[in-house]
Amino acid sequence: MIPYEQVSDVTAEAGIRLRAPSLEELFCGALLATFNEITELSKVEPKEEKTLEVTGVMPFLLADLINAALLLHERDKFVPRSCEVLELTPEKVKVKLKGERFDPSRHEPKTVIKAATYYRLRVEKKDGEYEAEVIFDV
Amino acid sequence: MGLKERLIRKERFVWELPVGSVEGQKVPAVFYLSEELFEGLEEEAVRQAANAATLPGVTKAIYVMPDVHVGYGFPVGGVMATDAEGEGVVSPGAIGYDINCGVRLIATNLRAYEIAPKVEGIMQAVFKEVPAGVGSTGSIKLPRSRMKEVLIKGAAWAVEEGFGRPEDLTHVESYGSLPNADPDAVSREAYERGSDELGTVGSGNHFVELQAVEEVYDEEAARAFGIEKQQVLIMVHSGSRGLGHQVCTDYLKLVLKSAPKYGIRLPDPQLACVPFNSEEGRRYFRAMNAAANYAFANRQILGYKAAQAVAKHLGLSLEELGYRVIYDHAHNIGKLEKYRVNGKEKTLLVHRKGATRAFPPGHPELPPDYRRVGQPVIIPGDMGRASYLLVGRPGAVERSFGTACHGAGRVMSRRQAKRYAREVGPEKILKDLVVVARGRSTVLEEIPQAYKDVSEVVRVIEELGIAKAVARLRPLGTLKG
Repeated sequence: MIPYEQVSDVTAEAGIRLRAPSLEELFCGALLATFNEITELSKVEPKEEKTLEVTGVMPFLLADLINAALLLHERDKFVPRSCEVLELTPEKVKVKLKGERFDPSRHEPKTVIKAATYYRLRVEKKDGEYEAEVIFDV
Repeated sequence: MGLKERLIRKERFVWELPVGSVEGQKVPAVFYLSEELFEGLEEEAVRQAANAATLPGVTKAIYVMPDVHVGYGFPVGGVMATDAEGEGVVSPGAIGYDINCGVRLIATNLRAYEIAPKVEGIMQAVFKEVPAGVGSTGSIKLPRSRMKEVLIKGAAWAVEEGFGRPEDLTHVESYGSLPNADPDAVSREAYERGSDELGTVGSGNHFVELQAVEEVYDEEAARAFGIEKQQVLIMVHSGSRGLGHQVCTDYLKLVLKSAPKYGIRLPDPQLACVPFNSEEGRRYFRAMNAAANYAFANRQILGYKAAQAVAKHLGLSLEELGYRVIYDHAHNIGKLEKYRVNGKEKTLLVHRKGATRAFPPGHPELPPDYRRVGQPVIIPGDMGRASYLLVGRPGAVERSFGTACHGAGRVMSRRQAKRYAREVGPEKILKDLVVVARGRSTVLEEIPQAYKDVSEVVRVIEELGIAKAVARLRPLGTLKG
């Protein structure tokens, strides 16, 4: 997982900020960082595989992808440990996730993230790298 | 120069950001704050109110309550009314993710001194009966066809299913069931998230709390609401759970995509909006009403189950407990209401985000037994200090489209609160409080120090004639999500 910063200047809420060498790594990095805020990802095993496909527009596509993964989490208790981009265009993203069902006996809940918002959402190229910021509704 | 510096003090507790402060601003943004609360006002919250003041069809002013803090796109504590007969917009972000998040207050015949040694046991009993916390699911699991009934009928559905009494409904905003709710405007994903969450508190700042009436300030209103000093009340704070969140997420995406089609320039994507009188706008409104009805049903079930748990623990029947709904209202919602604007009566879509409807005495939408005194306005505080019961005053109609504040408002982010609690020592902070919860993390995020003093917020609302304090309520025991 790519290292990331926690955003703490938002009253009542939480968020993440990260940089990556490619847009693909940025998308997967942001998705995994979100789940690392939910529970410690080092304790999650890559047992099952899920594919997610989301359409939208940049930069909102990033929040849309995270929201699709959060829905998977709420519905099937799925927590991804790894993420691979299969396709990424300005209107579409398709990822393969490997992870497992949240197991309260092994996984400690950290923050409850209900949604990735469009507020202050950033996906941009900066100094030859890509940078993103996502603010969560918690 | 920051926007906060541009605020002009118009009168005591009233600050105005005049038209012309930001490009395209159509109406002023009016902030209701004491000097102390003004100090804490964030520049970003002023910016968010100013952004909303640029949207098409925004009417009279953006009003901001004293419990304001930065939200996503629109500040918490914000009120925006748009012209529903003309070009006014509807904005999911100005209503919020937790559609019809709100509060319910229930009376009992118990007295605080009678139950003092039993509070811990009572709260444990409530904890057993009322699912709370991360990913909590309830005992009610509904297929889509039955969920549709919930989305149309709201609290009445819960009463039909045995969770309450028909008379409960008269003391709920809009009788617990909003018209114009379309279950088919709600996505499959939203149904999936909501199918097993009815009757659950959820997480975050939601709670079920046992409270005692500590002080009565308005005897007449207190009599009308059936409360007196030392009486034990039950307060429920929850909303539309995953279903409401999904409705907001779905429509935010749709509305953001559709806005350019209507020539709307968005100052912030989270404030995305479309004309209320557009296909997308109407569809969101119908989905939002359906989610709001889910929330009314949720609080109806939660309140009834919590009261049952209290009664059972004390070996009483519900009649002996004196179960009676005092009131239930939303604080994240959009409502069609009529107001006089420039001498003409207009139907406006009033967006209230972290703001409570506060209708004055005589308002036709109030139940007959409250019409003479006004609408109860329930203001939850933090779990250490106090909550308040207010009553709407005529000033609310003049000053804020019939709206008051919704709570204390945060001063620390959740992460800051946890850090503070660890530094000071959680035991020290929580030592005099009875708090039951599944996870310790939420409790630390919700420590009293993370919130403004609700008394200061209420003082501003009272002095402006928006609402009047009826009673101060002291927390006895809290079930946190």
